[in-house]
Amino acid sequence: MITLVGGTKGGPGKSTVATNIGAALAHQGNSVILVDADKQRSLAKWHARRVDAGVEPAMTLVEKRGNVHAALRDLDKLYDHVIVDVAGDDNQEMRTAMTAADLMIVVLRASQFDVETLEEFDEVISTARDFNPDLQVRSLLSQAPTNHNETETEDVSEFIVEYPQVKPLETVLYSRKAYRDAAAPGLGVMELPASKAKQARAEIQELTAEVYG
Amino acid sequence: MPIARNKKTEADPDAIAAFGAAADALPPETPEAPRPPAPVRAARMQSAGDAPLTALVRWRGHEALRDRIADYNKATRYANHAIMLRAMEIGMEHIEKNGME
Repeated sequence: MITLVGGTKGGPGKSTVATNIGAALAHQGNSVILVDADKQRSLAKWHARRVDAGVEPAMTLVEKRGNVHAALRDLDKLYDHVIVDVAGDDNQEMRTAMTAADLMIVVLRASQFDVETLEEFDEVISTARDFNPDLQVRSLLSQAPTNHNETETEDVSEFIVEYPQVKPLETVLYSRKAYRDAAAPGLGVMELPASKAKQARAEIQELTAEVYG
Repeated sequence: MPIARNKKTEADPDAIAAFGAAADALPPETPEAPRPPAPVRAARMQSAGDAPLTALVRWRGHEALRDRIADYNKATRYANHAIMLRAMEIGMEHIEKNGME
């Protein structure tokens, strides 16, 4: 299964979502390959730290730029899960990955500037579906404020309903230190001690259960 | 009886490549349109280029208005978005004539 983690806005935590999904799926016994198609190379750097530290389970990583369609379809035949990370704008890697992916997770922060990118993105989804009618597009709210008095998360959830091509995920990832702590040593939050990442671990478990069943 | 699965038709690789390349052909930012001469309310006209494409509405304290829009949507089947825009047009005309009171 090919999962593309993308969006059209930088900084909402796409690479964090990709690494944590990948690690969680690998711990479930799946063979996972990460495809870093972002020139920032966040996924590749995270993976290099993971390899240096000898973290198990091991995951494979490839870097690919430009038209990634054929490469993703080939990798899909060899691995249970292909997780693709692309840059946070409208780019060649994202578009061509959309023509191959089974699922795209659009990572959004609960902010005006993030959700308004959906307007332009709607048309890109339509065209990608001309090539890949089975593409599912789900939105994931990330870096949500942990202060429950804030209403942004609720506001954005209601706003996304206006875009029927994008089906919101019920899981929300909150802004938590555990995600940052895990990134530095090449880990997913599932691999941090439960005492230090209880809530983040629960969020990733909920996310993978909701997305992959 | 075994049911044969139809093989998925592979999309045209050249068309996919063109779709991808089109993203990189986009200008990094939409070039700013030449500004019309600013007759009245010059300050506001000049800020229009930065106006957001969308806006969130916080209904807290205005739940009755939200419900009126929703009720009208249910009664007429006009989209919420269309109703809100029309209401804002009419409201702005009123405000421009009479102020915010």
